[in-house]
Amino acid sequence: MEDQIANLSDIEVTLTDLMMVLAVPISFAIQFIKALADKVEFFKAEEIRKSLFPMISIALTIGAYYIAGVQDFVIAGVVMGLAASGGYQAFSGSAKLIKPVATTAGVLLLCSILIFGCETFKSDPKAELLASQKTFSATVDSLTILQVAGKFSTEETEQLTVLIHQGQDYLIEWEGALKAGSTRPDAISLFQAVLDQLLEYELAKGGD
Amino acid sequence: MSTTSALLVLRLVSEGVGVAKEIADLAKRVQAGDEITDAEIEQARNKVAESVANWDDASKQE
Repeated sequence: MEDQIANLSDIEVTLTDLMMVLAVPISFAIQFIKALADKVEFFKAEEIRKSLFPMISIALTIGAYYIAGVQDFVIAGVVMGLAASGGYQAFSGSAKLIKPVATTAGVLLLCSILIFGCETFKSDPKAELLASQKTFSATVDSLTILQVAGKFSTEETEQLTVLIHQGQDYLIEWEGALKAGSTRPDAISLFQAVLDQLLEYELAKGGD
Repeated sequence: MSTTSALLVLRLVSEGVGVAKEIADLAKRVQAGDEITDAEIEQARNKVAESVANWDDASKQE
């Protein structure tokens, strides 16, 4: 099967369907390990959790990719392991990785990585738009669930409302541009920036 | 973990897994040369509008 390329900052990783499929159960396995660790006093220390869970996630992902025969399994395992654990948050210095919402955001982040870093979607502008619409809907739905659960302050809610409406507007602009014959409208990068910010909010709520 | 927390987790996990499968299926369709229709785009646009409306309702009830 043809491989796709995903660019993550300066790191280039070859994504395959197998890697994407494996990333989902790995993210749930990490969440299960976190739940077990909650039962042990030693693992409740924030500093231990910050470094331990991303490392476990990376090791698990590297191991799974090695067993599955994934090429470049080390670097792919590091990148996908971080995404699966919500570990990007750990490296931003405010890691609270305990709640499953971080895993959900990690899965949505993987979807975003696949859409915007993948040659398959870039080769089909309508598919790229459709995948973005679906990911955006799921992200907004997840944020709504958190909103109903009282996870956001009034200020955060106001900021999220602005971002969510911006995201919807950019998608409509993107769709209009495609119909007008443009294949790479500016709305794509603007939408991607909004989606990244929404996922940051979701990741940030992982330990609240 | 309380029942409320467990339900919250289940709903969030369901969202994440659901969209991951849809995106993976979509990628396979593109690789197979399947064409995305305007009706699918319109349906997804309506779903986006519904999600945004739900957010607006939830944020007003704060």
